[in-house]
Amino acid sequence: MNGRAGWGRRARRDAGPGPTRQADAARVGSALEHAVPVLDLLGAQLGHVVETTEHAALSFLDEVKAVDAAAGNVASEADRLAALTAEQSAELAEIAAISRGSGEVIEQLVAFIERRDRAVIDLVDEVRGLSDHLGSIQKISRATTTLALNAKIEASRAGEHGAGFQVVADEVRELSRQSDIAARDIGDRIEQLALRLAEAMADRAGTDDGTARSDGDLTRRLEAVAQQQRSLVERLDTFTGRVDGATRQLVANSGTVHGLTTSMMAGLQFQDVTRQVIEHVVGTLDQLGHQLGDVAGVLEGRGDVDGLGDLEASMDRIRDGYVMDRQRQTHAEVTGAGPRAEAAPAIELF
Amino acid sequence: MTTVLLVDDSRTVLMSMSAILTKSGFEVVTATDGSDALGKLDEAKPNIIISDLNMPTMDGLTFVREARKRPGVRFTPILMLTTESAQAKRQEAKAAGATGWLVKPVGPEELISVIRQVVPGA
Repeated sequence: MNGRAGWGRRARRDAGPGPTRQADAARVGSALEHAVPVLDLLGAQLGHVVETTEHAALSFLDEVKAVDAAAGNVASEADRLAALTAEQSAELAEIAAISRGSGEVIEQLVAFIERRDRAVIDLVDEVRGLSDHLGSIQKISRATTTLALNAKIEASRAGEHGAGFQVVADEVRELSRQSDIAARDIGDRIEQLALRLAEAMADRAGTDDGTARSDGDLTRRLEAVAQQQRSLVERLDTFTGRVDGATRQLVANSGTVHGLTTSMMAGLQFQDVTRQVIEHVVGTLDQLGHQLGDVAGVLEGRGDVDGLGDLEASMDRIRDGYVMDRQRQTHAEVTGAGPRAEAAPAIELF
Repeated sequence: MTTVLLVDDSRTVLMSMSAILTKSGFEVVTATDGSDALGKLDEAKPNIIISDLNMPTMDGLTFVREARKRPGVRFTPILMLTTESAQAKRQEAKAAGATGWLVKPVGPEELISVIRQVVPGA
């Protein structure tokens, strides 16, 4: 609004002496007197806006600082979690190595048991083969008995000359009989041994609690345990990797929050900027109030028209009171004149 | 630790900038105008001063002139942080002994960057 042009038009329209004019002037003066407290009221309201925005800005700052502190705590906890995760990863690597070693031991054990099984089976076969040899011994023993009997007969025929030979024949026959008994006994023992070995092969690893019924069962269970162990380590490793990823994300997010809260704190400078603009407006309203009071006094016959302030000079004072480029730009846009905004850098080192 | 003496009559600016600087690892001493700041110079022994321009009791330019008379502050960087943007005021500040000029609102990264430019090792 161009205030100066408004005052000029009104001055021309009201020109001319007379009682009616004086009465009108007094009424206008009275009206202007009422406008002054309105301006005071506006100034007070704007002052209250400054106080309110400052209070709000400080409360906001407290909340932002609380958020920032919480983000800091989260970041600290995330760092601690990351350290624990790293420690767990190292332990898992160690467990994985142990698991691989256990698996190799189990594989070696299974291979050993299988080799031993084959050896025992071969042994049983060989033991049973010994029985065949015992049959030959028994045949020889029977043939020897027959031979001793024939020798005894021939010794009887020889009479007195064959008496010594008959003794030898009896001894041979007795020896053959004992050999036969010994061969039978050995055969029985070999058979029993073979049976026991076969039984042991069929159920060698049987346990009281029934957890393993045979070597095959035991080795399968051992292999399953080794496989479960490897699987468990892999799953733990995967889980630890996910925790590590989540922790890294948490740290990154905390950093983002930290940056945002810092920007929000800096953004509170707006309150100082607006405070200065409003204080300038309040000062201008106060100045305008005084001018209106003076004008009212003149119109009501209480003052001298020559004592009225220069409105153009008032505009200059308003302009000189600006501190920001934005204020100067607004002034130039509204008045169509005034100084051009200075294009200076926001940051300058001398 | 780098100590910053922050001078401003706005509580909002003092508290928000203090928070930013503290988060960035600086120790911050605050003063509400030039006179208050002069009284804290000897004890605070700041590595850098950041001062507003328009303040009651003693404005920023007077404060810079008075501070430069102190032997311990003669070479201390003094940055003006103000809403004022007039070139003439900048030249006055430069003549008074200010090191640089920052127009509010200034971003946190820019503020820290400027501090580190004028305070080696900050």
